[in-house]
Amino acid sequence: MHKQAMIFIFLASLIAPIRAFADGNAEKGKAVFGEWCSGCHSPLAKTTVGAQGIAQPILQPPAGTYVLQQRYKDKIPAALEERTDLTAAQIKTRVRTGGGIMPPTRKTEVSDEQLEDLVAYLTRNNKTSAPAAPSR
Amino acid sequence: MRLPKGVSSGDFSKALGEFASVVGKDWVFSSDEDVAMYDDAYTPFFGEPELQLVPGAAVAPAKVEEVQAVVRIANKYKVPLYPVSTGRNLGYGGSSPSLSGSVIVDLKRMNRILEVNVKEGYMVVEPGINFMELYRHFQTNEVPYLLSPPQPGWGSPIGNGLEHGTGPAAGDNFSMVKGLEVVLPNGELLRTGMGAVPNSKLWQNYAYGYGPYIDGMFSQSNFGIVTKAGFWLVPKPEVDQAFSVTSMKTEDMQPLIDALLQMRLQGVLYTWGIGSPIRESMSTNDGRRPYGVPQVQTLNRRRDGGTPAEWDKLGQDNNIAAVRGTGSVRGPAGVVKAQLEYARTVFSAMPGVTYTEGKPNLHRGDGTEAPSLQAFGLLAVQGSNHGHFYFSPMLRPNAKDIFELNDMIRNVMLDAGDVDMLDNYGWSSGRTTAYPKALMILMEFLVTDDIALNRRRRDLWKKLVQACGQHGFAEYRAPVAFADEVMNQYSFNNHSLRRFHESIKDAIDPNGILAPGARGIWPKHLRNA
Repeated sequence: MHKQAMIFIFLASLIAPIRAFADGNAEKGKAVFGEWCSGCHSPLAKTTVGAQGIAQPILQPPAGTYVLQQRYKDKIPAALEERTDLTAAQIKTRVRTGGGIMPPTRKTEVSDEQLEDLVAYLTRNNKTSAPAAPSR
Repeated sequence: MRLPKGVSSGDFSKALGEFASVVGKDWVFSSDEDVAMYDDAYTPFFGEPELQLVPGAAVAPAKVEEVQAVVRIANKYKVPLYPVSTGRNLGYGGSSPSLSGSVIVDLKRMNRILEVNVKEGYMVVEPGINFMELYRHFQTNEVPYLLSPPQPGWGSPIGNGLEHGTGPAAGDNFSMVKGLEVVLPNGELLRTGMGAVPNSKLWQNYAYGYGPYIDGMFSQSNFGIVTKAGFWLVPKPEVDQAFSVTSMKTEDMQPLIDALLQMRLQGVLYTWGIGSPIRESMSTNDGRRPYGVPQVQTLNRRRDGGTPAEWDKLGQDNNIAAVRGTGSVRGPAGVVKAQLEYARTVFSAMPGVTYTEGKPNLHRGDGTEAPSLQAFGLLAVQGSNHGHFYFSPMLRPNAKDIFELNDMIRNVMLDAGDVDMLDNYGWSSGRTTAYPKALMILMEFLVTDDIALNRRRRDLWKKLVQACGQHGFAEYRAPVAFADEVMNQYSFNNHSLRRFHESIKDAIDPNGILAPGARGIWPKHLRNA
């Protein structure tokens, strides 16, 4: 066991710098979410948050949250910020390709770097994820 | 990679390489994954890729000099370009080019707010800024003016204005456009109106300048890439308040229209609208669940659409009005009070009409006028998987035309055997006038998983456009893929309007590189292709 632990620490020390480079900043990711995602993915119960952090009453259900609630029937949280199972690949694919009535988000809107920040934010509570990488 | 017609892969690659030397390689997109982001996310041709209009690449300049350079390179290699401000014109084509293989000129990086003149009430912006970003700037800086965003609000004021879009504050947003900077198809830079005077002191204040007023030539056209625009702004009023007037009799529609229109023309109202709640009560076109009564669909499905007496009785039996008019007033509290008093006096004198005032909106920053993405919620609750596109004819605000257009629409749908579409649409007057003297119907066509149904719906859309044209109505805007069908209705004197557009196109864009086919304007070499 001791030897295995040593190997793990050694491997982790190799991986850590890569993760620090590749991973995003969850705090910045929260801002990206507010800017580009919350307009359609804020929780159904919230009534005063909108796209780009603009406070406003919600007259219709947020499209994305409504669609996911219909799909998951509350077995999984419909609001993305409450999820603990999203993967980086899922988030990146959905942002760049869209799906259903969600159009793709282009690199002139959300850069690859900002997308890493968004991934960090939406996976911040994942139980299986590695420890949060330091901020860039 | 999809190549534009008539362009070799060698020339296309050379053009992309030269674009990269201008904007940087990070801002030229040519991989399949990157280019796919510029497809029409709401294409009416879902599941039929061979029919879809798709780009060949994209380039994202950050400043006007880069746009000029891109245009010159495109001329050198005869590569077609398709400019988009933010490319969020979903329902009318999004960022889809009008000719497959075109290079999208994505102007999103040109997102500066160049001036907000609070004293004189105008702003000058670049095409990449969107309404939500602008709203945040206005809030942060306590700018005492309203924006006029469409819903959803992530589009560009320039893109929306140039497309003749509408918004709640200004109504006709293009009417607020005052002065343009344009990169012409040869790469030359033009400023319109007073902007043509070097060091002009009043580009936005007096947009006409001297000589022909040409700002309209760059709206719904392919004559240039607009890189700056001025907009007059609507002052944030102390109070904004609406009222409604209802009647249980269909025959009251015209008198109510007459009264509301006169109030609008006098400047008492800034918007007004007309509708028939009982006829519209089962329509799900706007995403609502039906709350009406089943007999509504029965009458709407009848060839004659039901008699006024039948509709009035149905409304009375269910306590739903036959006619409903609306008016909005805004301004200083004392002025609003007087305007509402005038409206109350006018409508109280009309027998059988009920006048009701809404709550005053005091613009306390509660966000009710904020741009949002809530419109997508309407789409989501309809169960749409692939978006929508619009059929949007204009009509005069009189009862005769409202009923004539609805009769025509109903019978085209019945002829097509599309009762589902008829049930969804039901009946519409357009409800609210963004324009002082015109109504606009926005009929939503959902794109579904059922490819055969999508084909039938596209066919229905074309039949509606043709029938409209035969009745003297036409669309104000069209999905990129259907521009020719709409332009064909503007056929007076053997299509003299389109031929005039083509003459201009040939003169200023001889290589036909700028958005060929957009709004039905094709360059010479593709005109009969």
